[in-house]
Amino acid sequence: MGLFLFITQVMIFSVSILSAPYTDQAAFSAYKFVEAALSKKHEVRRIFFYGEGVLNANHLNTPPQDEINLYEAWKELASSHQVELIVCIASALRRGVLDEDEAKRYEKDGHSMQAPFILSGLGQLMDAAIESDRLITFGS
Amino acid sequence: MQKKLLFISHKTPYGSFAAKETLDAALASAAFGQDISLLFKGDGVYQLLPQQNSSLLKRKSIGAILGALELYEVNKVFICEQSLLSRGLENIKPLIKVHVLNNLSLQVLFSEQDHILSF
Amino acid sequence: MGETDELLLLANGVYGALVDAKINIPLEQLRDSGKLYVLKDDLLARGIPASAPPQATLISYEGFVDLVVKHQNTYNWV
Repeated sequence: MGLFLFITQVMIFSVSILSAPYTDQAAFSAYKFVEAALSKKHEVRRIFFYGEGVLNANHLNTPPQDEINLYEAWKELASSHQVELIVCIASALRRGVLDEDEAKRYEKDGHSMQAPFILSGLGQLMDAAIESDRLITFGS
Repeated sequence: MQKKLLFISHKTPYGSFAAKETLDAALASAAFGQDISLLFKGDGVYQLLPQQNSSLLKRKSIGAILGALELYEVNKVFICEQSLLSRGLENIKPLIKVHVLNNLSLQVLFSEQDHILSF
Repeated sequence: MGETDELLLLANGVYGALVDAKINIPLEQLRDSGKLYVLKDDLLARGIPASAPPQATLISYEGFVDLVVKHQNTYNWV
């Protein structure tokens, strides 16, 4: 009697998101994709928010109760699966997504971003490309 | 570790900030020592039109950023032939030196990459 | 598109799977060789019956993940 053990290839994914949460479906599709990848036991190392995608990191986003709260969904991924949520600082500043440090630096009277989202540079996108088996872009 | 990365720029130069941000990402990657190719496709081919005057829009010129590609040793710069033809741009003199690729060559380019970053 | 390439239609792209849709990509060969995929949730959400796209394989997000694992590269066609 033979026995075959089929070992599913586990991969390291990173995802890049270019669309704001309410411009089109891309950010939601990205979330569902990440959720599915994690359920299949792949690792999702990093989500890099770039261009309009940085608006996903705005903690002041307040959708109605009967809609998905994508911000909370991203936060949950970070806490339950250690997915890194990296926001490109150049794109973010331009679009009013500032953490407390940047708000102080630019003398703004409020901030719109906080942990687990982290402001960083394009080098993080490069690291994601280098470290990951698959890098997939959502949005435009 | 060096990977082969293809950046594809699909957007017009000034309709949004996508074109600038795509070039910024490509240049940053080159600065990090990656093996970069850059492809202009779809509306992205409009970025190569000469005689742009972005000061009218109070914006940085895409031409200036394109000029930086050579400085960062990004030499593998391509443009999609079909995108040029369908926009009637086959006879323009592009802002910088680009290699025109037909669909078959595009397939080959895609298959050579470790990652494709589509903007 | 290359011979081993596969196409996934998702979000508003699912409209392209309908028989009379005129989109830029020649779908016939993909349909015939079983290389056309449609994200099921996005199709049904938009009120298109599962049976509507001819010769397309309806997949879930898990199936989407499998496609990405299968292919070295994914081109997000804008």
